[in-house]
Amino acid sequence: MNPIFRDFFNDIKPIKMREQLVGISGAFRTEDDVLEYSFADTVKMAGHVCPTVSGAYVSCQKALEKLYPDEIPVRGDIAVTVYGAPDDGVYGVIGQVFSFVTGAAPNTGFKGLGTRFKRKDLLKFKDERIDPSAMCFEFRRLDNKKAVLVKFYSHKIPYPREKEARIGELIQKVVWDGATGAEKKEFQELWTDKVKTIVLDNKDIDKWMKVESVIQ
Amino acid sequence: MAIRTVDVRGLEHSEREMLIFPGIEELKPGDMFRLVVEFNPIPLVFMLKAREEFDLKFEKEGPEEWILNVNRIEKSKANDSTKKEYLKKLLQELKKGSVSEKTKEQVREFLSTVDAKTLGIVEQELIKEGVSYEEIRTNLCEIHLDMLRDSLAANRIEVQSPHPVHTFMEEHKVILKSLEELGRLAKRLKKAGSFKDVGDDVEKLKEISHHLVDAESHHQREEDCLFTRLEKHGVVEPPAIMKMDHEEFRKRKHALYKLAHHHGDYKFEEYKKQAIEYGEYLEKELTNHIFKEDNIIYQICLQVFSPEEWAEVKKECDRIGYCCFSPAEMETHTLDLRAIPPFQRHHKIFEMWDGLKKGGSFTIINDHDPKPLCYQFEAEYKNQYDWKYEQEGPKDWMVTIKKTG
Repeated sequence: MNPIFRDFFNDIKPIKMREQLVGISGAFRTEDDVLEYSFADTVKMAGHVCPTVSGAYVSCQKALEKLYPDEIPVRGDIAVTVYGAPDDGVYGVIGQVFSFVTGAAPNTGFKGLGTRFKRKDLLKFKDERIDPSAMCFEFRRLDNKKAVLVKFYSHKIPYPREKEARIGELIQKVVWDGATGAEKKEFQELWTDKVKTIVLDNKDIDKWMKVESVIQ
Repeated sequence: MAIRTVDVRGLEHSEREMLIFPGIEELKPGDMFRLVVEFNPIPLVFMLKAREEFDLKFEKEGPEEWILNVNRIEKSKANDSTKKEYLKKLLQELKKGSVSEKTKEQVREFLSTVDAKTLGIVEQELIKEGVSYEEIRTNLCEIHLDMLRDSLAANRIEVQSPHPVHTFMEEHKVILKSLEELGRLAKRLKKAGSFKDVGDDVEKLKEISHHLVDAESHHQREEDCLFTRLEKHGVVEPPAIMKMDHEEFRKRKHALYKLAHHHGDYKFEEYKKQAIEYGEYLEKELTNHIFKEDNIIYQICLQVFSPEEWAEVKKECDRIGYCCFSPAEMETHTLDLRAIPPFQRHHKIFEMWDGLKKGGSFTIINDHDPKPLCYQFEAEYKNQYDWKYEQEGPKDWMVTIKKTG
């Protein structure tokens, strides 16, 4: 249980990962221990909570579930391709979440120990639109080359229009310190409510996220 | 007449500067400095023209080399070190706060004889001696700008929608209206003795501060899409000054926004004092800043950026987004047809067309010449559309389609 974040954070399923590099470097008490990357950890890394970070977390979770149906995913053994430019919209932030959870790093990443455990260049951005109305991400296992494509239709997330409009009205006031205490509270409730819809409730997820196997 | 030819082709930017600027500064009246470069030296021409000390003529204009002949037409009235000392003295006067018209006139007269490089050196020396950038900026730049105001505005290049500079300038017009309103409000506030006297102006200040904060996406687009590019072209100082201005405005806008939205937390006298202070600052400084951007920064951009770069600027601006007050015709989007299956392309195009307001436009990117589409528009929307090729092959085609009727 975390004492800092909202209660619903405790109900969000963490992503379990094997991390051999941590194991062999001796950080674990037991070498084959498993790490848990929780949504709270992801929020700590990103420095904020938002629908994008939530969508990225769910994308990662669903992709790994399909790629590793009966086993725990192996961190650092997954290549991720984000179909979008890193400086375009929210693709950069999404890439950071994927990197955090899967260990796939951009060209600034760990070069490896000899030829093993390389993380560098496992996260790539391709400025291509596979589906004009979805953000697309490919997750590929390096061991068996199996891959899945996640299509995230962020505009199809079911959230009441009036609530969305109210968020629009309040966000400037909150960001520029013009909101009253009540307005700030209202904004925070609405904002986290939307996050909860995505990351915990997964409400109507079939409408806004598709995870497809990539045929070689 | 002595002629000195300096060929800077292939040299690094710093090497070029070391040859060009001393060469031009040392130029005696009647002598000629002949500069050979491999691209059009537009920023340099712009800078030298603003000084009004040189006669500039192109001996050759591309495509492989440009030869610019520079003649000094006016002899400086004093040597550099005397100038520095005199200008330092004048700036010390300006620093005192209440500046007499006589001192201002002396500064004006002096600035007409001093070059940008000497000014830069003196400014650096003054900063080392403890004079703040802000003092120099507000005292000296303002008078300098006054001097150049008319000639700059007269020589301005105008562009049409949907060019990004057109968008920026149209947004400036709206920001200026808010600033005028803010100035009037500050004046009214000076006469008020309590919140009762202020009436609707409390709400009006909220509204104005909302608009000023909303204009942040305008500044963000300038910084990310224009200034960064100018720096890559070697034009470093002007965008750096503009960015520092933005920072100063951002602080005041933030403070004004907070004040306007939390007015109930303040005693009237404190509210009044702060509103007048921020309001007057923003009205004066942001108005001057806008003039500088319209007449100097954007003009340099227009001369330096290539058409391909402008297409990139447009794309990046679209990504960042516009202000709530941006003109409707600026709601331009880019539709990359290359990523869409051919059978869906026409449907997507007309979906976008149907959603367009009059004056709005969108740009399509295609892997072949979309001529058939042009025929379709001609058949179905005659006299209601404008078709403009931004790029014609060889690999990709870009066309901007505007709704005119």
